[in-house]
Amino acid sequence: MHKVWSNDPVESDISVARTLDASWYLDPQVFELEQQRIFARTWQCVARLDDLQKPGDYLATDVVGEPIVVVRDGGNHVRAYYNVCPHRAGIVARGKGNRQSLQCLYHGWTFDLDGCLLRVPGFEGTQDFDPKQYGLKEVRVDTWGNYVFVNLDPNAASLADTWGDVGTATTGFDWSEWRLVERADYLIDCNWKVYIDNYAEGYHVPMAHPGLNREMNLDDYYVDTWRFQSTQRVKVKAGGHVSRRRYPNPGPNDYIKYHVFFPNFMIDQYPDNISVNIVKPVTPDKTLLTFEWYFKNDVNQVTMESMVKFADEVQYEDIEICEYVQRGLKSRSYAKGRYSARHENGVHHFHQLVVEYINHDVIPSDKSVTPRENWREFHRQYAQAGD
Amino acid sequence: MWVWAGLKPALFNPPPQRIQRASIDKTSMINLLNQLARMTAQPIPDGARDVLAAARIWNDGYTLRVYPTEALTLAIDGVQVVADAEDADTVLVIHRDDVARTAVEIETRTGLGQRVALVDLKFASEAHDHAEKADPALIPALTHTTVYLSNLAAWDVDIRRALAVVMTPTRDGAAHRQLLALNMAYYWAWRGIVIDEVRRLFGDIIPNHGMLRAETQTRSRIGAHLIKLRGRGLRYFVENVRFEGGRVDDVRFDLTAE
Repeated sequence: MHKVWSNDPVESDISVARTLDASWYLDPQVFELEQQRIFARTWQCVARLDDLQKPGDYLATDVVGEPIVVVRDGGNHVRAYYNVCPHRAGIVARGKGNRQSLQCLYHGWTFDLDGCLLRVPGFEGTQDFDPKQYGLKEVRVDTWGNYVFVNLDPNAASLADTWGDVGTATTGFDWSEWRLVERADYLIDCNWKVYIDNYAEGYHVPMAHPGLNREMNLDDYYVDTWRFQSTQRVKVKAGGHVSRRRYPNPGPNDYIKYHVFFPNFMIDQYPDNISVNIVKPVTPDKTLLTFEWYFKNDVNQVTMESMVKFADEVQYEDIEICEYVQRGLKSRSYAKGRYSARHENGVHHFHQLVVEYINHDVIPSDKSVTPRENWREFHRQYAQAGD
Repeated sequence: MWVWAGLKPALFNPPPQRIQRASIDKTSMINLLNQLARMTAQPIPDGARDVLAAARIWNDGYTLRVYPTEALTLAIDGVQVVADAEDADTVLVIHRDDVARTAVEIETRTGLGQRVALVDLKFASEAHDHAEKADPALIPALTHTTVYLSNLAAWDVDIRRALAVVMTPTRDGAAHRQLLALNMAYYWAWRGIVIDEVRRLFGDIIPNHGMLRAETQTRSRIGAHLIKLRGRGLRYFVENVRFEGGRVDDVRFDLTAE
């Protein structure tokens, strides 16, 4: 059923707020707006550093349909450019590889790895042509952990100010200790926000993820939010049927954490592994997910394989849910829902950011590493209300 | 629009005297004869017992001049092997093992304006002219070059099937692109990669309780691989995955254009 976009605000008070209107997940107009207002203004993961190890390594990609090339230059710096020749808009790189220069595939204009125009064949007779004015247009680029990010918005806050510092503080891990052991891509039939909505809350775990639910003490579950990030933290459950458990003997500080870095970069953090999830909208109702699993060197192959299988199982449980939800959003019976104040503040936080980016040209930054909500106080009130 | 399949109306080529059976992969879900009929916008000829025979009739009996990148021992009516790529209607690149070398070869030949058909025989035994699956690494290697996959004259894991595609005049370019994508989805993404993932979970027969998971997994994983072709002229999604009799070997799915 076609639903016309209703750009209603999301109330800031979760206890009275209603969710995003279903049209946000269905209308191609919203999808296009999100491309320009969200994905063209936020840090987007485009590569792993492994892809750019040596000077001259390059990788062509795209962000919201903009062709981008990421290179490691001769000075060993990662740089990014629009993959658009300033002559007549050809491309200067395709695929990936290693080159000492970038050459337009159309007329052969050649650029060095720092974007300067080196050679222009057959341009004799052209007047007022200053090659210095015709370098490749640079794109903001930064790295965090093993990943390379670009941002098409020259005015956006830096990666560190956006979520790098909070991310480093909340994940608390040293990327260099982890090695990539597995990667999988999934194309699922839902809007990208359906997937992130689902990721941002643990409310669905008891119903949808029986295996995962055995590992989690959901009485000790809460979601912290920062300006551009939310983190779910849940304690690993003690006891239970040891034979059916992944973490049968958890330590007192063993937690599972799920971090959402707005808009589409997530990290699952388990006691013995981490996985990075990158969400790319393909169409209004198709989304590409990339999962990359990391383990420490001392983890054996059997454990790694069984954990990847476990996570894959959870993933398919989520895919099934998300695809049901996408169908439900189309129903004439549904327009908006409500949030669980106890469990779904991560979803509420995500929705507020989506609405803010769509509706505002200026997105103020906030570098505070202190969470925005006081969960100790919330629990005290919650407990009193239950008395 | 009428598009000659790179064929010259060679007046001196006699009509076919005999019909050879093309090798047909019995496990394939792809009905190539129907696909070729769509591609050439003609009905399947009466009496055409296989794809090469049909292609020959659609092609009015003209001979296809092929330059293979390795010695071709097959004798196929209507196909003449030539010694110079410049004299050929189509260059038949046969991939055996080295993906980087094959990718460079395809890139070089397409750059020279040659019409290229690619047959992936990495998993064929020496004596065979066909394989049951493609090299998982080949298409990713091609997407790291300047090659536009939709410009390939054919892509297959079977020399005879590929030649039938090349020989069939293309009147419907969309049908040709869909055939390329279908072959890649089936022989590369499914048989080359995803089938083993599904088999690891369920074995050869999927139980009823696992069917939804198997179908979802197949759709989402093949779909993710096909996304890699999106920037190379082949924009398709997988739909309606099903397994006949629950057999992993007997998958069916549809491709829909984006």
